[in-house]
Amino acid sequence: MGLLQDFYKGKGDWRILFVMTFIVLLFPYLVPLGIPVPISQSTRDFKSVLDNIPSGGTVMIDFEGTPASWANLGALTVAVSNVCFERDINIIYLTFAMEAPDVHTRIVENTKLYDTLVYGEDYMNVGYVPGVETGMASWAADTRFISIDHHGNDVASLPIMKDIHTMGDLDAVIFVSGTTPDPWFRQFGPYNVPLLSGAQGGLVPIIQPYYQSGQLAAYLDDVKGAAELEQLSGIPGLALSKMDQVNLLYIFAVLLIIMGNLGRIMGKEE
Amino acid sequence: MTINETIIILVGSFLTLSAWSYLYKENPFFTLFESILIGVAAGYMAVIGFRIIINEVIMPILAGEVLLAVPLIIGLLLMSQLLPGYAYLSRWALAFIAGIGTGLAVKGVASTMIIPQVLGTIQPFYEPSSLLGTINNIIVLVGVATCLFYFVFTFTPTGATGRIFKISATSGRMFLLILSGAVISGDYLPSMAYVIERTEFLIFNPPGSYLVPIALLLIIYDYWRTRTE
Repeated sequence: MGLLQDFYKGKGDWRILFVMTFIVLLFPYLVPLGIPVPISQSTRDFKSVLDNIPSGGTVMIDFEGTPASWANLGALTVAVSNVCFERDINIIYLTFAMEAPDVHTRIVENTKLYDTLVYGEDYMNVGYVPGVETGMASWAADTRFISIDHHGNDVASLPIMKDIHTMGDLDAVIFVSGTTPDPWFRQFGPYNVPLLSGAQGGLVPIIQPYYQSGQLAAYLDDVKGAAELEQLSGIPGLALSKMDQVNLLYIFAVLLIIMGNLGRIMGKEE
Repeated sequence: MTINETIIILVGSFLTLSAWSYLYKENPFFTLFESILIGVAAGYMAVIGFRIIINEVIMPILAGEVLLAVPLIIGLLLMSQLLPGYAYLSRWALAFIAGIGTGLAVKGVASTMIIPQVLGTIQPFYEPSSLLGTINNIIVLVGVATCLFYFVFTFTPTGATGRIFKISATSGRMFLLILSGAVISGDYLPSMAYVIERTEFLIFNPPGSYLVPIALLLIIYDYWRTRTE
């Protein structure tokens, strides 16, 4: 208990906790646990919306992450892309974040059907759309607002954009973001297109009121939701392989919190 | 594996280990990593920004769409902040940008953020088919009402009304603290994903994985040297 009190008083060496964290993290690689991943209602609703899109339909994926968020938001977008390409749903990738355009290329390269996809027919990368909320409003009103895509092609000449002139022509909009979702609801909401969200973990409590009110058709909860979607669709990917480590690290974090509070109680008794 | 792929993996592993070296202590490798990160991010965003301006503004202007000169001039006015004595010109550009942004934001507030949320809060007290649904609806109503009480700062009722007000505000504060806890615990999930992904990159990508024992040896040597000193 002296060690706990030392940590509570700020005297302990925090590097011990880092080493313990890495040991917990590496354990499933040595002893795979196969902890089951229960599937939440929001993930089932997400899959249901995608299942209701007819073959040949078009969705827009707005990836608002960065190369740094590849591990969670990137894995989530790959899982969604896999489901879409499996059902022959075309995808328009775009972003309102400057760091994200090239991540779209990496996302498509990591899908299972990448070798069979044709750029401009099955998917396209609009790239960066400047202006954040003004950019959202402009692109929603006129999808040819950005005339040159990220790879230098004329947007209007691509087959995937033939029948897509406004956001209302899309079958669904999926925004994958780590920031507050209000601008998406303000600018995309009036077009009556199903809105789906891939939300970073801390954002889920913020978007749940939108899900409850029906404005958001469904959402995926960070890498956990991506793993659930992979399990539900039968297409394992980048997320499902991480869940043993995620579960163990969460348990470890809870133990640390309990130990920290015990250290606080012990300190008070002295 | 090609030479390019080998270099990419080695550089990625070196930078990952440099970033994580901060967990041991502040060191020149971490400082180098910070500088590279800031420089690469700034350079990449500059390229993307310039590409958009050239593709969507300059080229259309040269093709005859003269009206696009207006946003170009507004953007240049923003740059006047760098000119001593002419910085006041940027206020016009900022006012235009702020006005457009505010107008667009306000346009959708009532129809997408206020009315649907209020309607979503109006739920029946009693759901015959679901006890949990009933409890959930009551908690939602109590939570929304008490949280709204918490944000009333314009007056403080006294007497019996004051006591009820204070209890409601305290309950609202508890709900907000629960929300904060949920948000913070949710933020732990992406952090774990980052560490897991980087660990897998380091372990399962030779020759990058060969840098890991070298880094560990350096740390052990420095720790031993510090202890003996």
